[in-house]
Amino acid sequence: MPDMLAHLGQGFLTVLQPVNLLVLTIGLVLGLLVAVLPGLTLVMGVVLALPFTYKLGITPALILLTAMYVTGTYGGAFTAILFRIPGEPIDVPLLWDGYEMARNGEPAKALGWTLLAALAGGLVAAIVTVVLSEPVARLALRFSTPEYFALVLFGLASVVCLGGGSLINACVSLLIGLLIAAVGVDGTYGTDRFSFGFDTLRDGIEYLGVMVGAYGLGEVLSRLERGFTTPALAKLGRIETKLPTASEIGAVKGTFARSSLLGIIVGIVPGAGATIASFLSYGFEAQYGRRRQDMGRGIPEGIVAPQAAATASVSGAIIPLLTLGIPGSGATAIMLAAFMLHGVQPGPQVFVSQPELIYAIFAAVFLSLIGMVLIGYFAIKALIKVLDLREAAVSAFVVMFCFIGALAQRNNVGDLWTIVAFGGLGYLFDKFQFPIAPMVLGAILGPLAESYFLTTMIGAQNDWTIFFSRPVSLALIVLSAVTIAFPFLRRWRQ
Amino acid sequence: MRATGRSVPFAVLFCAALYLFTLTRQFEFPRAPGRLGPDVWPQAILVLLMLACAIGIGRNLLARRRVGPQEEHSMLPGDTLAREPAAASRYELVAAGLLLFLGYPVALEYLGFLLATFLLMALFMLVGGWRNLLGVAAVSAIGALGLFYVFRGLVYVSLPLGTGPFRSATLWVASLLGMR
Repeated sequence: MPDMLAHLGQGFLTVLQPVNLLVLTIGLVLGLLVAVLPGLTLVMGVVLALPFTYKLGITPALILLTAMYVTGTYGGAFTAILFRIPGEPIDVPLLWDGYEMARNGEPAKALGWTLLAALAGGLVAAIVTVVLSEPVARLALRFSTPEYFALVLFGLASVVCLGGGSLINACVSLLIGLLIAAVGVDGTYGTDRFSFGFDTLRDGIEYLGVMVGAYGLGEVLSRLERGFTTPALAKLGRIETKLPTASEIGAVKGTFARSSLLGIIVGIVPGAGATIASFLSYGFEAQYGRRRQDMGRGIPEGIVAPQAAATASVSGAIIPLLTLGIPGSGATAIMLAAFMLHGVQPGPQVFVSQPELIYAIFAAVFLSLIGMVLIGYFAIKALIKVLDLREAAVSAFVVMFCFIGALAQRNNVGDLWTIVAFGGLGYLFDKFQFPIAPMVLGAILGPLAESYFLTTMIGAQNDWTIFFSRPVSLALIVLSAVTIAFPFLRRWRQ
Repeated sequence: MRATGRSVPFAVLFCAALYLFTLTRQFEFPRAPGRLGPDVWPQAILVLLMLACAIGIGRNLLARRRVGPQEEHSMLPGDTLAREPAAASRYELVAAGLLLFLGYPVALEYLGFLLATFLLMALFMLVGGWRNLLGVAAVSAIGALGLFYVFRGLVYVSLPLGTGPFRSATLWVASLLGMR
């Protein structure tokens, strides 16, 4: 514990250095802007920021993305409560009680509950993350390739099953991602796979192009298809945040605790993330909460539950990323990419080799929460002004950021074709209701999965029972099977 | 979307996976008995992909037989609320947008970053339905110059300068902005 606190103190000192603090502030503002704008999702915003972190060191790069991730779960609450426009899918549950409270004449109070819920959920989860991460990493240090393969398998299975929508469509998306990762010269034998004679393909397909194209250009094309129909905003008078009193907070302390815990758990499970945490927590409160019969009528519990869980899920998702190298959500998949772009593979070894980096990320979470509260309380009115911007103009800038991001990686104009191709694919995915996240995760984790699988098989003389003869590996494979079987069983029972 | 329409992507992917599977049989590598080669992993993925596509097609065909349209079950409660109210699809806009995206890398090489970006932003905003020409021109000019200054001048990204007179023009603007 003393070591942990010392490392955390060092992490705070790192983040409080002028450059890092500036990067953190930029991340906070960008995260809020992305969350406020209905045309930009949190993951898309983090993806667009990723290419600009090349020139930064790994620490400021991760501070920037962490800050964006934390505030991205909160900013959309303003538009959901004040204008009934959810900036993110995360914010949809806030339409039910948050918007109702605003309609009942208490918009400032609704914003106050949101702010407090985000702060409380975020802080509880951040403390749990700091305490849990090192023991988990120590445990993971005992893992060998069969366990890592089983772990990646569990991550991929969770992404498929918990992402929402059709299971088959998610499976297809994941397999396409794994196939994309298999393109190019194979690392073990030097065999050319699916390059069709193109040098660009022989080098492999960069997952950055997959992410930027599918999330960025794909989303822009999908919105363009609907003609950039931004809903008209209602005119509002004074926008302010009014914090609830201590006695009001005391009355919903159970909701705070339940939602934060649920958010952490959902965050830890690979593939879930803030949106599922937000919906699950609201559903849990509506089913088991003390005032479940009043949910949807503008009560604090209906605001606290989704918001606390959504922000708590951020730290939850960071645990598997840092300790096991498995992203727990779309945004942590981008953070994984940021690690890899700087030549660092997150996992238990990083706790030993670069503890200062890990604890700087933890400190960034704490400071992001504080910064988020300050900006949310004092400057949100100015940020909401971005809603006055024309969606066509915002989208034109998004397109440019996608192109410059792809260009900045290798200064190769040829890379732009990759993102255009994946932009088209992302649009088709949206059109045919295939989720993008499994493909992106497949493209990122594919090489790891293949490498762990082949290394294990070579080491075990092709005896595939090795995956079932080691307890941790067996448990993870069983868990993967249960994760995949669960939705089928549920549907069959229904 | 109709069941037949929903099956099209699965059918296309099935055929593509089958074709790629045949390619994996032609991978060249030193084969050693009892040792897994570089073809095993992609083959496993492709077999699973074909299986998933077959299930997808079967599911859609079964859904077609049922009475009334069967919507996909959503894992997320209130998922439909997360989507905005459906506006009419305008595929001509998507086609125009894609054409602009495809033209940009070509334009970038010849016209350079400044002019290509100005044109892409302006045309994209016009396609996107913003008809105020002055506004479009102003935002495009500010966007192109701002991005050029930030990414070439401050972040040192090597942005294409173009060829011939376009290169000279880009360099002239760069010197005006105080960049070397």
